[in-house]
Amino acid sequence: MSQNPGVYDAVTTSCEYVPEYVKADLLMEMDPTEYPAWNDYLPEFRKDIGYSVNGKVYTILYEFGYLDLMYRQDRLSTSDVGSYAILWDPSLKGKVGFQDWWGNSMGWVSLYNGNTPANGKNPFEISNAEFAKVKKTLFSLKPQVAGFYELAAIFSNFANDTIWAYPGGGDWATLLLRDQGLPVASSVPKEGGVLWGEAISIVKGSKKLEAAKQLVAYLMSPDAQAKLATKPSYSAIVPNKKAWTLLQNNDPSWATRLQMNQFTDPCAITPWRENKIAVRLLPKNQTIEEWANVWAEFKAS
Amino acid sequence: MEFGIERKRVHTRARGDARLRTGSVTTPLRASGAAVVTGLPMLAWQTAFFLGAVVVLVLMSFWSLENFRIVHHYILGNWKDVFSSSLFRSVYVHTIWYTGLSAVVGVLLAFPFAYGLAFHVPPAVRRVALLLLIIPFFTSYLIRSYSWTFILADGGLLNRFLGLFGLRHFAFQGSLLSLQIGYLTYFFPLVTLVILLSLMNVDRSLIEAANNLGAGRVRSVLTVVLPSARIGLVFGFAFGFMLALGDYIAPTFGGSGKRTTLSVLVVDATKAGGDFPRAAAIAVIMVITLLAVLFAAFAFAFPRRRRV
Repeated sequence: MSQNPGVYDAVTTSCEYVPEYVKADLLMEMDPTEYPAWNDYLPEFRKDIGYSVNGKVYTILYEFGYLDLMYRQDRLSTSDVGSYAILWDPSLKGKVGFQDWWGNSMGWVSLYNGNTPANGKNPFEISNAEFAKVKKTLFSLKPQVAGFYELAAIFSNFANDTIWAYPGGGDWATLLLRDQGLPVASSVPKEGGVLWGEAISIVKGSKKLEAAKQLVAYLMSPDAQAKLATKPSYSAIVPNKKAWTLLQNNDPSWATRLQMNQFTDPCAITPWRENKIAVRLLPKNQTIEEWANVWAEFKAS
Repeated sequence: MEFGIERKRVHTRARGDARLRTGSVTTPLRASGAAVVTGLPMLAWQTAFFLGAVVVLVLMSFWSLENFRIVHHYILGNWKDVFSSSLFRSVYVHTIWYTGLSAVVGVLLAFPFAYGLAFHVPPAVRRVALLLLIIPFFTSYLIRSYSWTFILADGGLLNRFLGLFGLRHFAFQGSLLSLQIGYLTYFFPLVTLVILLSLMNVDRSLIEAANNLGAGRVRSVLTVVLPSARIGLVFGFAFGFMLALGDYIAPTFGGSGKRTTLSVLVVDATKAGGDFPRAAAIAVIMVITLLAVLFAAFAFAFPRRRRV
């Protein structure tokens, strides 16, 4: 967007980057109430969950999921994965896989160290002392590492028995592998998980503003969100209640698999309601480079 | 440089051949003119796509990044960051080790293979072998590398085979062996090809002379073939090193991301917020390293003759 001004009218964002885009003056302020589907959003997501900038909205969430602990069921039991502490177990030496991106692979370490929503904290908004502890905790896990992979390689390494546990995985990946007959599951450990969100923004100075708004309206609609929830690349939880209903009526098996078959607990957003989920944000008290450097050092250590 | 070599050759021949000295002096000059004309497109291409790109790369290494936007301020920050980073120094040493080792192993494995093809198979078989060496370049290196992960995985083909003999599962993936297999998958055919072409040009009468003088096969290889194929061997090493140094796929798949190299650092810098200026600084160091190795290889392949 910054290198090609005027080329893009709307952009789907990973929500945590929105403040950076706003700082670079790339996004237009949005009014969610302008879109009729906003009234159909679950009450939990009809308010700011951490993405607004100075009280203003620049992006609207249309799908999300949790980064928690994904594991092979033939190697680990449900009770094993009750805490991230299992990752240090000698039986998992050389069996823990990571996605090669600090954003998805360091948040859980901070949660494990106690920087949780339950303690009133976001795992990415921590002091330098807490960040140093995160680094120490992360580095202590090195003997357990199987490798650092792109997402497709994580899937294949789960399949070929190279990795047994993947902190940063979640239902979005589990359901794909279960479709292939693999004994994998994911679980939100007691320390919690991290929310990844994908959202739509309008680029400042768009010459096709009406078309951009139509796209936003479509991505917020029940029809689009029901499709997004069950897309073949990765499944997702969606914030539009009517999309849940649509799935329950048209595709009840998927609604059940995604735990969007009922609005009452237990359902897909129960961990969120229980305050176990932290929103993935950019680091507040350190730079992106500092987190990325720790990650690079961990990989090379 | 080519013109210089051409002139030197003419001069040497002219000294020993009166006919050339008197009658054919203009021929090489005409050839040089033709070389200039035919070489111009290559010169333009190299200027635009190599020299131009390198100049931009060097300039970019002095720029900075603000809010994901590259700012054309000339600063030394990226260079200071790189040189003061213990991570960079460690990765640099590891990269030279991994890529140097792969180039040496590549040459050592390719030589006997190329030797056999050059001297011990009929020409028809050699032609088929040449074709087979070229074919891998028409297939995706990414796919070939990826397929190795299925062979070397903990539950992969190799471990399953070893399991038949009661051997426990080995963690091949991410090992030095796996990384080297990745690199060799990339450049082994090319190194073999370079050495094979070099061996095919070895004067066979020299080998026969060595044999007639009582040298056995091993001695004739050591004293005649290897020195004659020196240029091919050195350039085989240089090609292997050059390709391995810039390769991102082998460390990613073969090394399972655990064996960080300079090319991985470049990608990491761009992934962590699009820091192309810092990536450019690392890339410039890679280019300088590469040129140093190539010049050293060139000097080793074409040593200066001592003046008597």
